[in-house]
Amino acid sequence: MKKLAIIPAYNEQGSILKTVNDLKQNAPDFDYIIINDCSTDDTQRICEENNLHVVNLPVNLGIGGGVQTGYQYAKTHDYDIAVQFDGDGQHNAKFLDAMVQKLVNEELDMVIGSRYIEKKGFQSSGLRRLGIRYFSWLIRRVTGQTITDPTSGMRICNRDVIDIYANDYPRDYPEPESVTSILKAGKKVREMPVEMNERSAGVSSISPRKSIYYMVKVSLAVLMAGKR
Amino acid sequence: MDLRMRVFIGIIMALAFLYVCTAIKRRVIDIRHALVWLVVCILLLILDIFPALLEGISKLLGFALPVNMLFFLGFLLAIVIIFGLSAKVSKLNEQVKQMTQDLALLKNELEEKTKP
Ligand SMILES: Nc1nc2c(ncn2[C@@H]2O[C@H](COP(=O)(O)OP(=O)(O)O)[C@@H](O)[C@H]2O)c(=O)[nH]1
Ligand SMILES: [Mg+2]
Repeated sequence: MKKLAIIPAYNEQGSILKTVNDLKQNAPDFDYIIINDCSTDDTQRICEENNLHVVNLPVNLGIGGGVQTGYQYAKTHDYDIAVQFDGDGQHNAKFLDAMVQKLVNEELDMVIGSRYIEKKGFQSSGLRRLGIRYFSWLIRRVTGQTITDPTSGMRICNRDVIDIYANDYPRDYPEPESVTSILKAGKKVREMPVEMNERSAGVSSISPRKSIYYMVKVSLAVLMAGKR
Repeated sequence: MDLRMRVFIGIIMALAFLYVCTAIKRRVIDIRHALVWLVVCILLLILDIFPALLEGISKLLGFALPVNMLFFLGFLLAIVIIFGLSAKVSKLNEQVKQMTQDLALLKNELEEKTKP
């Protein structure tokens, strides 16, 4: 079975090498592809000097367009399984094998790594947790299913979902909307507990200033996805 | 409607019409996109030159002042054009995204092939 880790990276010079090494050590049967989204720091140089597999986007597309490029790569290179794995070192590769097992054994379409089942590791800031609980509630209202960590970027999926996302993926703040749309399409999604780390370098793309836009945009998107 | 106001509005509309025409000639704007602006100019100009027409429609629709009807119409048409532009920008955005992705994946394939 061919497995790919999609690593979105925007200005991650301080953590991209660490992320790739974590994958090579703790999930060696995964191939990986870094989507360098027109970073303005040394990310591209570091990737090239270390001979890492990288797709360099010529203009910045934002997280959604970047991750979608990864799914398109997975589709054209005929991967059976793809996982999203942040380039900022917040995800831990040691959980990937168990996620693959769950996906395959339970014949699921997607497995999400959730921080809020065992409540271990980095739990995000209080305000963001509140937002996450709200999205969780909204998705339950729209789909009838409970996703405890709807903003988790650590998600593993099969060919069906790779195909869907390669064709259609939200541009920004994509996680809650994209999980809602596949739930509505009748795909089987489950979560399993993972631990995440605090950011060690660089800055989060979700600034307080943008969070109002984030809440409104994602709420609307989830509601729309529910109506399709 | 007051004659002074009509002359004023008429001059502005005529100037706007000429401005759009020169913009087309200088290729600042594509005819496809300029056409709708020309239509707006002409429409408002016609209503300005023939006030009886405007008064008739205002009375029919219950506008107290014909000039309000003129402003409302101009506003409405502008909004329609702006919405059309927003839709166009969304589409362009999507097209640029797809081209960027295709280009990046192609470049990656080429690099992987030429790698030792
Ligand atoms: N392709 C792409 N990736 C991005 C962009 N912004 C952030 N990322 C990546 O998305 C991942 C998660 O982003 P982050 O800002 O850490 O979000 P947070 O973990 O939710 O705070 C990281 O690997 C970032 O490098 C972007 O504009 N384009
Ligand atoms: Mg992060």
